[in-house]
Amino acid sequence: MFESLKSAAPFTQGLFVMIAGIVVVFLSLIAFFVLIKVLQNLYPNETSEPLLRRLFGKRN
Amino acid sequence: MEQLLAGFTSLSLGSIVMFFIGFILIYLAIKKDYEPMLLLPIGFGAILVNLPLSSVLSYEGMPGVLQVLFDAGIATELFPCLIFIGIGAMIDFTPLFKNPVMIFFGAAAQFGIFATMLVALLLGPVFGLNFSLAEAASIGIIGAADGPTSIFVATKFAKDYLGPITVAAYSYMSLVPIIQPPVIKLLTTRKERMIRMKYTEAPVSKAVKIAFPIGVTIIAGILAPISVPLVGLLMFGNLIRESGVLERLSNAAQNELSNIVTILLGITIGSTMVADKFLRWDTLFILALGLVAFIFDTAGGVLFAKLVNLFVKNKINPMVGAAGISAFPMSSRVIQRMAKAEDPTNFVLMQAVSANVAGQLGSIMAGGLILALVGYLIA
Repeated sequence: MFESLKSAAPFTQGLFVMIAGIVVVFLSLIAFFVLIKVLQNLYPNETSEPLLRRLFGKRN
Repeated sequence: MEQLLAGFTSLSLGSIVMFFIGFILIYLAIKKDYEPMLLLPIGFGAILVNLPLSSVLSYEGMPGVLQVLFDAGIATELFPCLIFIGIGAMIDFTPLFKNPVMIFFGAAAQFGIFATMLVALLLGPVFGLNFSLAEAASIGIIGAADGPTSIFVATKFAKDYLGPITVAAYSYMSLVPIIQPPVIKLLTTRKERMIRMKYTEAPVSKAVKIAFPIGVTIIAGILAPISVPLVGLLMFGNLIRESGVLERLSNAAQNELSNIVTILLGITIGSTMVADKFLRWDTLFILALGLVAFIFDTAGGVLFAKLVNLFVKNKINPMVGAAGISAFPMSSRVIQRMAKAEDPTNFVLMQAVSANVAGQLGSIMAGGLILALVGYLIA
């Protein structure tokens, strides 16, 4: 899709890196934001123990 | 006799200038406390490598000790990655979990990386320096305000500029208290700087702290696979910290591992500052661009906060946006100090810390994306 950019002038390439870079950095941080929100909803106020117990079973 | 005087006769003006630069770095580290853990070893490394007939880089056709360290730790990118385990073990993401919305400032304040890359491409030819895209990107990454990320990217794209890029990255990080305030003042009104922000003390469960590093690694790995060595090891260090069952390893990562690698990293970076490679017009230009990167970062964060304020009811103090750079915790301290100077009862530290922690994630993601995008274009 962006194959033609490989032969573009460095400034044009830089502009592409800038726009794509900023967009994807925002997208990744949006994804991290969603991750935090989901995790907070899943495990609102509990300690790690219930999660670990659920995952690995209680140790004797 | 000739052999005894060989050291004197081989001494060049360039070596003497590099001794002086080494002394300045050591002075800044000791006297001014500017990132002493890195600037001191870098300064000493610069002296070592510029001694006439120095055998630290090569000796009788064999690689010298610093060359061995360079090949093993920098060329392979091992040292920056190991440092990330230590940093991960030191980071507490709790402030971010309490104010998750602040994560977006961690993205906005990476603007300087990309803007500086463009400035390097645009202004380079004006000063007779034709930087390639990869070199310009490596210069821009100084704006990540994150030493290991800068080293990681520069090692891949601009090995010749590794010395100046690293020195600029660490020097400007320690100069954040001097660089940020005038930029923030220029872009904000007193009224804006006095905005108070609500802070709610929400409890954060242990499970969230444990699952977060795993989730971030998977997301980052899918979005930018090339960033995995950086994000993955940072998050590995954080998982060790938050697991609660690896206290010894967490302490080792925070102390022994970080300290040992920092010593080796610093002196090895110093070894790249050979007079012939360092004393060039481009070094000065790179140092100047590093400053530009930090200014753009700060401006990006502040302007993004002002943009957000156009749409939200509960206004954000735009200064908090500037804390989205990765220089932790200097930047958040600067913001709180500035807020206090305008209104002694205003407390924005927690929001600023949240943005600052987010900046650490943002800078690594930006570094990974630079590697991916530029790597694709120059392939």
